[in-house]
Amino acid sequence: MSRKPLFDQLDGAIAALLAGSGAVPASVDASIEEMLRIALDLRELPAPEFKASLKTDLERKAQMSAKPVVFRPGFRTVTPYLHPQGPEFLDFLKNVFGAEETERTVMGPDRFHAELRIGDSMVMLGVGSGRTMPVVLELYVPNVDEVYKRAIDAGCRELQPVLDAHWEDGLRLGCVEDPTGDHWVIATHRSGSNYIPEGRSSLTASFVVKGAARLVEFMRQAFDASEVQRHEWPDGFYAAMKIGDSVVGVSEASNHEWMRPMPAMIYLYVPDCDAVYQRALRAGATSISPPADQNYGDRTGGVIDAWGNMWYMATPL
Amino acid sequence: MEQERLLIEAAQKDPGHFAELYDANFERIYAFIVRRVQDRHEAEDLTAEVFHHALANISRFEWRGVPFAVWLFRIAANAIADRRRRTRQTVDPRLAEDLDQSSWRDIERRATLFQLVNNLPEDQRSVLVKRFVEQKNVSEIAREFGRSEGAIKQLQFRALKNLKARVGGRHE
Repeated sequence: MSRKPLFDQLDGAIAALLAGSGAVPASVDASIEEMLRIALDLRELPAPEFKASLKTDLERKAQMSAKPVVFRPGFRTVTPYLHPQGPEFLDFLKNVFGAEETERTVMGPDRFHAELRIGDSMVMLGVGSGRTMPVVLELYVPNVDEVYKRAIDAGCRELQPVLDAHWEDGLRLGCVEDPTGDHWVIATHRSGSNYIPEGRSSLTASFVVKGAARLVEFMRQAFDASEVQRHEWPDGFYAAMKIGDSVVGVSEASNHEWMRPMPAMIYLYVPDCDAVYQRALRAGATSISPPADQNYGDRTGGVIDAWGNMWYMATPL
Repeated sequence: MEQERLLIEAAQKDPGHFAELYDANFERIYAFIVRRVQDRHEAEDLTAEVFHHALANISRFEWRGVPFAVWLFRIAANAIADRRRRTRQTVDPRLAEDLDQSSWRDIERRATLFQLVNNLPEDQRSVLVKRFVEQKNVSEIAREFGRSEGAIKQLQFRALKNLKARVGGRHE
């Protein structure tokens, strides 16, 4: 072997390394031993295309979070959309959670679209739509005990009395089911300076599905979501996923009463709803309606994912 | 360190500056992960997860005079452990521990090597990428480049000789 040119010796030894040998062969010329030690490490050389495409992804995401679309006042990237049967639900939200009605558009007899502010967040309602789609919502309030009691007094059903969470320091929460069937996880965060944990807002939409890990992956692909928090238990997990400036929850469904599958409907403000709509389809969603200019001032398209969640992505016109 | 602190503050004010932290730390984090998972595709998935998580949480990062990479290594260690738990693999408790000095040196050595590859003359860099990343043999590379096998072997030789000189005896 030593009579071969050094570049031939080197290539032969590299071929052996790449074929699975994890050591520098003893028979090579001493002058190339150091080069082979370098070659050993080069087996882990990152692909330049990967480095470049990840950088592009991060820059796109950074651009989205640095230059948010100017929404109507108070609106964040994600707004949950609820489907109560009648207008009395608005009174329930006002009386129990201190909601403030900011918009009402009559759609027909006993049908209207409403928007309410709860804390620092917005919620949209399609009242009298005939659709039944109870959802899970996480709501941070200054005093969970007070709000929980008001909810029970207003006719909510107890799902989980208020307790101190053992899985997160300073978190105190309770869970109720409202007359529409929505589940409200009412919480107060007591370990920081604010009752709302950093990075969260008052209201968070939450999905409870079977196959939550796949939903997380779908959200990554379709909406550039990134995981910012995770709690795991033996047969499931909860992940907080950041989309734009908002967080949504994803939980694995179980037999527990307040962990049964509950898909949700989301109104999503994005810089380019056509692009996001196409990404959602590529990630496996099915179209409800392609993006089109709407008379209420948004360009909006809708998809439904494999778990029955409905995503309406919108860009202000 | 001061320069890094300024980069972090800039990224916290405007996430558009995160790319500079990415450029400065990509090879380190990849080197940390790939050695632990021993699989290129899994290493890429996890590296992407680490930087996406870091970007999403950059506003929460508190400067305490510790290199930014330490925060990224912790995110990476948690990501690897989470993935192993999800796939029912054994989680090495050492993953969660802080890096000792020799591990840190080893990561820095390999990260520096990966960066040096980027600074090689283009034909030498391309041969190394084809050979080590795409795992092609010399005859395949020769066909792609329209050159003789001997020429490719010499490019490979010169590339490694250059790396040896630039590593400067630190590669042991």
